[in-house]
Amino acid sequence: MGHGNTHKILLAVFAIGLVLILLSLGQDRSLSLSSNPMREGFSFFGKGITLPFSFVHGLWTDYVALVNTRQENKELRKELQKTQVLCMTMQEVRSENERLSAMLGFKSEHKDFQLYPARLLGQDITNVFKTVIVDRGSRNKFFTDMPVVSPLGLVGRVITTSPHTSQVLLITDPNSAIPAIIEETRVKGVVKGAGTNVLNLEYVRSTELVQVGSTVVTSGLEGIFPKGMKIGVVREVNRDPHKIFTKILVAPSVEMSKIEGIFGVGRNGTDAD
Amino acid sequence: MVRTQISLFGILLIAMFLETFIVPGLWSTLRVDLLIGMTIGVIIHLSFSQGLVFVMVASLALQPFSGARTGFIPMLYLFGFFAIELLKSVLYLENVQTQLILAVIFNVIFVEAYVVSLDMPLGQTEIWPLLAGSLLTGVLCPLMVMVVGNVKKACYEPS
Repeated sequence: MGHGNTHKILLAVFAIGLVLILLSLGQDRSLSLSSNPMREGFSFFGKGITLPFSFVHGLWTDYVALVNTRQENKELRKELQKTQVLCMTMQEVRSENERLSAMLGFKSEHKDFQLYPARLLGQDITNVFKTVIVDRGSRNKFFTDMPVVSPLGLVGRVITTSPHTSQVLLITDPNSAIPAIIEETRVKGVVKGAGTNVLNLEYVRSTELVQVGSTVVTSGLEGIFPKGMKIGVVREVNRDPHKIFTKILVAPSVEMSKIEGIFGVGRNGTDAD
Repeated sequence: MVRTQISLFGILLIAMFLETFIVPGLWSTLRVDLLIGMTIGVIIHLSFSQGLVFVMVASLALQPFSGARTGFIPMLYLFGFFAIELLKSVLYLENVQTQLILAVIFNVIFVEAYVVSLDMPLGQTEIWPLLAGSLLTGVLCPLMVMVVGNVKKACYEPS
């Protein structure tokens, strides 16, 4: 065997060894901290370079795409009126709930949390894993395992942070699992991502009553996500009498491919920039 | 060697920026892999050791931009590097069509590897963005190979 070949084999063995060591680290995110300066640098470049794109996009959405806006506006106004009435009713329910909670000696859950806005910067380099990079990091009070929401519902949680950026694991990612509860029937399960725009609600017994259209919310059991955050709506229920658990598909309330602005849910008493 | 590597990493940074910030901004589910083209480029134009070092470090640099398990992305690119290195003795890699087809095939293999690693049923990923991404990866591959070749020439370094 020539000297060149030995050299090649040694290098290959070294490279494979390095990969095996990295794989054995599993999901240890601390390793990627060393590469965070790169993500940081990209975030500054990103803001500058994406500006012309945002301008063109804005020009399109604000002027060209405004056909039929008048009709849409009318419909939205009607919708708004309905929502306002609903809101007033909800306000009543909320006040009553707060009163009852206070009577029982419990604190209102949502008073413990504060929302920090962030903007989407980039997305996962693969088409399979569902993570996004946002323009807020540890200096903006974003922290690992911080829940991330949009006005429509739960988006995911922060998995790594750098001073000015954070990586968010979306609920549609196959690595995501969230303890959930069906709002109407209080049936508990675990919502898992499937890598697509549909979620799986797992570990729900076949004997439990689950209906299409039911709302799925966080149960707050694992301590990361606050209780009662909307995850989605039951889209399909497949019962098999020979299986212990029902196969339930959930449509997420947030369309992940269209998210732009999101909020990190922090605990009260911390200041955002 | 150092000048070539630094130049290649400069180009890689631009490629990564395009992949994570610009391309998904145009179509959120579209992914174009420019590192595959660069990998084929370094196999053609650089020595084995230089190419291997570049592919290892470049794939490690991709890690913070993905939710993939640590080490998984380097493993895939390393597999790609060794596979194409072996194919070098069988295929004429300088051929543009060969580069295009290889890039499409490796892009699909990588995506399917992610899918299998996650225990997802095959074919559940959105097929159109995947096909469009693979095709774009293939089309851009000869360009990336040419870029690597030009870098080597500009740096006046024999492989």
